[in-house]
Amino acid sequence: MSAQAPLFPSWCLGQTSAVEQAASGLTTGGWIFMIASICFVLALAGFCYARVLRRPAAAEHMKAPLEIDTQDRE
Amino acid sequence: MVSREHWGSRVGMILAVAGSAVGLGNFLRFPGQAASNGGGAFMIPYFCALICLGIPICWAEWTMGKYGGRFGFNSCPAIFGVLGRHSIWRYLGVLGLLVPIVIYMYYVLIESWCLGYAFSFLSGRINLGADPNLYAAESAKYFAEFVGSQQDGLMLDGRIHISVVFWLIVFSVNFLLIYRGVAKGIEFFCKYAMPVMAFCAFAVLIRVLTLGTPNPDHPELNVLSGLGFMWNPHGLKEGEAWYSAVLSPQTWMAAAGQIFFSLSVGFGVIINYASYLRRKDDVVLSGLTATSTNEFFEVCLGGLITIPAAFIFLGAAGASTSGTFDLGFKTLPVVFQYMPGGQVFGFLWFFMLFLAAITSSLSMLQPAVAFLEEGLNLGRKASVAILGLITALGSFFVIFFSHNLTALNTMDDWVGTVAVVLLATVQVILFAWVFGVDRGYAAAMEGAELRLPRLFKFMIKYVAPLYLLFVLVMWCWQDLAGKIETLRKSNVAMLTIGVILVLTVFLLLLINIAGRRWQAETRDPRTHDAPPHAPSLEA
Repeated sequence: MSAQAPLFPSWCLGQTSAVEQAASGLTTGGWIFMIASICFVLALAGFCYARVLRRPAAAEHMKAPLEIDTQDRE
Repeated sequence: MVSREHWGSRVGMILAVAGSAVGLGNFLRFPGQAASNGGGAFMIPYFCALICLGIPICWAEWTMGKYGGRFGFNSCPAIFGVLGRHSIWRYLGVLGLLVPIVIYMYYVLIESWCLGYAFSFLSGRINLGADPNLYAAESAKYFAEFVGSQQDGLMLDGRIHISVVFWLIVFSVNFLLIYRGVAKGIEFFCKYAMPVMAFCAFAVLIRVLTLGTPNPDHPELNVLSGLGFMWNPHGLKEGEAWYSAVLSPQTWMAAAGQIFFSLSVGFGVIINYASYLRRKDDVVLSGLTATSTNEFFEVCLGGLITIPAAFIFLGAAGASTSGTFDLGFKTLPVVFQYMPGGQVFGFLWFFMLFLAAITSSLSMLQPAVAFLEEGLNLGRKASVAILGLITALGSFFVIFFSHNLTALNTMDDWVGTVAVVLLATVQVILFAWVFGVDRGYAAAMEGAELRLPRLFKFMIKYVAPLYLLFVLVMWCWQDLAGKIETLRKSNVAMLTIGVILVLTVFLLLLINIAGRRWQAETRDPRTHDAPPHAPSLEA
């Protein structure tokens, strides 16, 4: 088995410790996880702030009031 | 009657909530957790926990707070009473007072360390000597002397101690801002502190990412390898493939725990802050925005600074430092000692940590101030004065019993960890099972500018309570015996538990008094009668 070409790239399989991996710099897997994580967070924050800043006066965009029973008694 | 407070602006409110969530954990705890639990692979369970657990619980807290605020209430006991319609929930709301008060008692001390370290870097007080081999030992010695961890009675050694001076400054600033109120104090401060915090973090980030290979004798210690140590996916044990970390329950628990503590869920803070919203204000988009801001500081800044910087100068041994205090106050000063321009960047780093801490500590005071105001009908001055006295006594206790930081660690173990999970469990059960997940969904959607996913109901009703109960059971099974044994061995630890219990009883008595007063004023939160001054329930 060891002589066969690996089915997955090296970053995907038999890497050993974090120290050994770090010695080889940022691997392809490292790049992928880092960029994907940062992009996800930036996209989420960007989406949220775009929506918030687009509607600064929140009171002007209210939905119709919902029926919420407030007459409950113990 | 105490007049109702409201947030001045939506962005200010979001920044205040985000400031409450962004703390030392974003910059010191998260990188350590990620690096030791699979590196980049950790982010898979991390984001799953964020989406399935963190955000839904945040939305629930925001909704509970806004719903209670509609009836004129701002404190956990009163809001729990409104939602649960039984006095037992009002008493369970004691956790929503106890947790922030006790955490504040020691958190304000850590906050003063950050400001003290910032000052020390700026003034050149931190001098680790000329021998790089002794940097680590000198840094540990400086920290021990600074916080007085070598012996009890830090303030009784006959001289004015620098950390006590900074504690006094920080304590006073906190109460000055709290005294100014929600909009003029907390919101005003956070609107400026958050951008300054981001600026400081960016400055340090740029410095770290442009370090290149600072030591030519060790070309393997460079920026890319530092980032690699943090982000390269790897298994939990040597020889394991990276996906073994994703398949490990330990990684999922660590990820969920990080999300949980990072978002300040179970601190009783979000409920209090959300109670100052108006009825038609949005909570879904605001909650998500505050959460995403917290994630930005954690992943985009914390994930790129701390561990890579430590690895570049100290190698794997330095970057693998366990514990928030060790990484933040022992390892990083050594990093700044090596770093070109380290005096300035050390100042910026610790000043940023100070801002992150003070925006969090402010949020810990407001729930109790709100309770004293509405429960005992006290004015702002009296409420702030009483809370100041209580927290000052507690904080003195932590400062005095500084040997090995026993009092601080005991409070952090039992309140900062266990009680937080307990409060979150109570909140989730109250929201999903007592108040009703359908009513909760409807309340959250009122004024919402973003549609709440239907999956929210399932997550908050089944996944979140099961996860929280599982965490509590696992803690009892694995850690409870050890924690009790630790208590038995230390008188200071036992005394600390005694202080927490006395405070709990005191708060329960106050809740009892408040409950009687609310009943007398026909604004008993167990019933849903709106108080005379509360906003109309009709549209």
